[in-house]
Amino acid sequence: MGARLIPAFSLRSSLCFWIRKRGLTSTLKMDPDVQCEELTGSRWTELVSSMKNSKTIRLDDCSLSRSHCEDLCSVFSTNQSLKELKLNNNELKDEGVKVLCKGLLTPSCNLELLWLQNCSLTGACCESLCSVLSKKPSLTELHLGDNKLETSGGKVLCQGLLDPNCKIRSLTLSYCELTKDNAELLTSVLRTKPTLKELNLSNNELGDGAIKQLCRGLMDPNCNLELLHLENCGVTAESCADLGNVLHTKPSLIDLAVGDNKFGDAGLALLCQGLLHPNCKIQKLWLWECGLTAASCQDLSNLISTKESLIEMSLITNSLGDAGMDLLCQGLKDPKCKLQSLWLRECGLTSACCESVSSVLSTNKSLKELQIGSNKLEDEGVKVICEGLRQPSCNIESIWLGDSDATAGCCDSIAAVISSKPCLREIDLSNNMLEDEGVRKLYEAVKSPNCKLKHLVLYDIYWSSEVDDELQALEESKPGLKIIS
Amino acid sequence: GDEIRPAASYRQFVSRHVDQPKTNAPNNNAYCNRLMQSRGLTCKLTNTFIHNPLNEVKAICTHGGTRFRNNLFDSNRSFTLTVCRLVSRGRRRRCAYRGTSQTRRIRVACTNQMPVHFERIL
Repeated sequence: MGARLIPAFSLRSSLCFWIRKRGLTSTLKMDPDVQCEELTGSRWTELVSSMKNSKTIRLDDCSLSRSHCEDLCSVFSTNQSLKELKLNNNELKDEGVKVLCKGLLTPSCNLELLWLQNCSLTGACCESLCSVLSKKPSLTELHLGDNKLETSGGKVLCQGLLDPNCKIRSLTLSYCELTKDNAELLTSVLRTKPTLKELNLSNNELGDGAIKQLCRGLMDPNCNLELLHLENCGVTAESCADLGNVLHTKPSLIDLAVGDNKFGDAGLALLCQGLLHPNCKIQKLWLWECGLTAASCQDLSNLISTKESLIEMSLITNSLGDAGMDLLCQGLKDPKCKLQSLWLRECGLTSACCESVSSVLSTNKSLKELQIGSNKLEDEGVKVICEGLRQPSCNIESIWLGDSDATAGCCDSIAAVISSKPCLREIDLSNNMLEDEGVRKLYEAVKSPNCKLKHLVLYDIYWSSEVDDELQALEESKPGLKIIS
Repeated sequence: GDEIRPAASYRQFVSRHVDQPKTNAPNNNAYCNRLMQSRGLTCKLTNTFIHNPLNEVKAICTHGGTRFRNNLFDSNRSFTLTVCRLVSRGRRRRCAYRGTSQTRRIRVACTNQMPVHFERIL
């Protein structure tokens, strides 16, 4: 199913797929946007010559190496309008990036954004990156995630960041094998670099000591950070009070991701002291897999109902349970709740909480996206949720009910939502055993002129070739609808 | 019982679920971020990649598997898997994944003795 959406096999042994449409347009356009394509001989030469006036170049996962970097340098020296260069998932290695950096230093080059995620880099290329940072104030966004820079590389990089010439705005160092010994210089960067707005240090073994140290930098009047990502950084309840302090003294901090840290209910209570403070203007809060239980849900409910800046929250993979969900729903029903997007997958929910969820859907006007799949809602629960979704006051645009142990038995209810809610743009029912019977019911509902769905997401659902033909015909007859499977 | 007739092709099953040898990546998250993109599955909620040779996967439909029901077969042996889960969705469909390695038996649907659909991990 869905073969029409998946591009054909490429010849690459790595079974990498080239999005054909994208590839074709990229040869015509001046801004190459290529992914997963082996760039050999004439194709590469053609691409390089098309880069003369490019503003952005994206060549992800294209098996690029040092020699390609040399060719890119010729572009830097002639193209003054080039702003963005994305080379993720290429084994450029240190030698390749050293060549690249030399090119970036040419006076005519004004690159603003450089993404080098997963390019097999080590600390050995950090001197070169450091000189680009200190000599090129145009460079404002640097992505170095998934490269083993290690402590020493991280320190060298910080020297560049500390240079007064450096005007970095966004820095990603996720999975760079940084350690607590990087905290000191990173703290200095926070203290001296008011241009820095986004810092992603996720997936480095920093630990509480380093987090506490970073928090002192974050509190500095010079620090204007808006986005802080510290997922899987060894944050425990011990440093949550420090993060809470930052939250209530820094209204600039609007996006905090601390998922995959096991600080538990005790840690959340401390974080909430900062989050609930009127000074805190948090907009996006990512708290997945933090070891939270129903015990955190009163705090979270208070947060949802009082923090009008909060628009996106993830609580996925926390064992909130039905009792916790009931508490959250109280907050969600408050008219002050402005939450637009809520992720609640894998929260240990069952059909028992669906009445509460349904009453939220029939009262809350702000919620636009609800991900509540990967919970054992079963047909009964899905039916109750659908009742809420059908209410006139419900403005949900995107509902994710995948992997909910649903069957064809609840598809009448889902169909009624699809055919009666023109605000609904996206529905995900993946990984449910809907079978032909269920899919046919959805299919009939989508035909309704009231249905304005853009994405009907049906991954990993099994149906017959007859139904497949019908779906294909439906997609063709309904412009704007994409059946993703 | 009734044979569920597959619409999914074997080729699509392979493109979506088989990666052998496992594509190089410094960690499972980077692996998932790379593979979900390169296999055209950007922003899919979850996906499982199998790192065993194709003949071992195909064998589930014959001597290497036991019928569960209809044309769903449970593998007799364990497979080396990476399970990718969506953990964030940013602007312009920039989706971030978490990957976990598992060694588990799997259930697939077969047609003409070829796997055509990944049902679940057992």
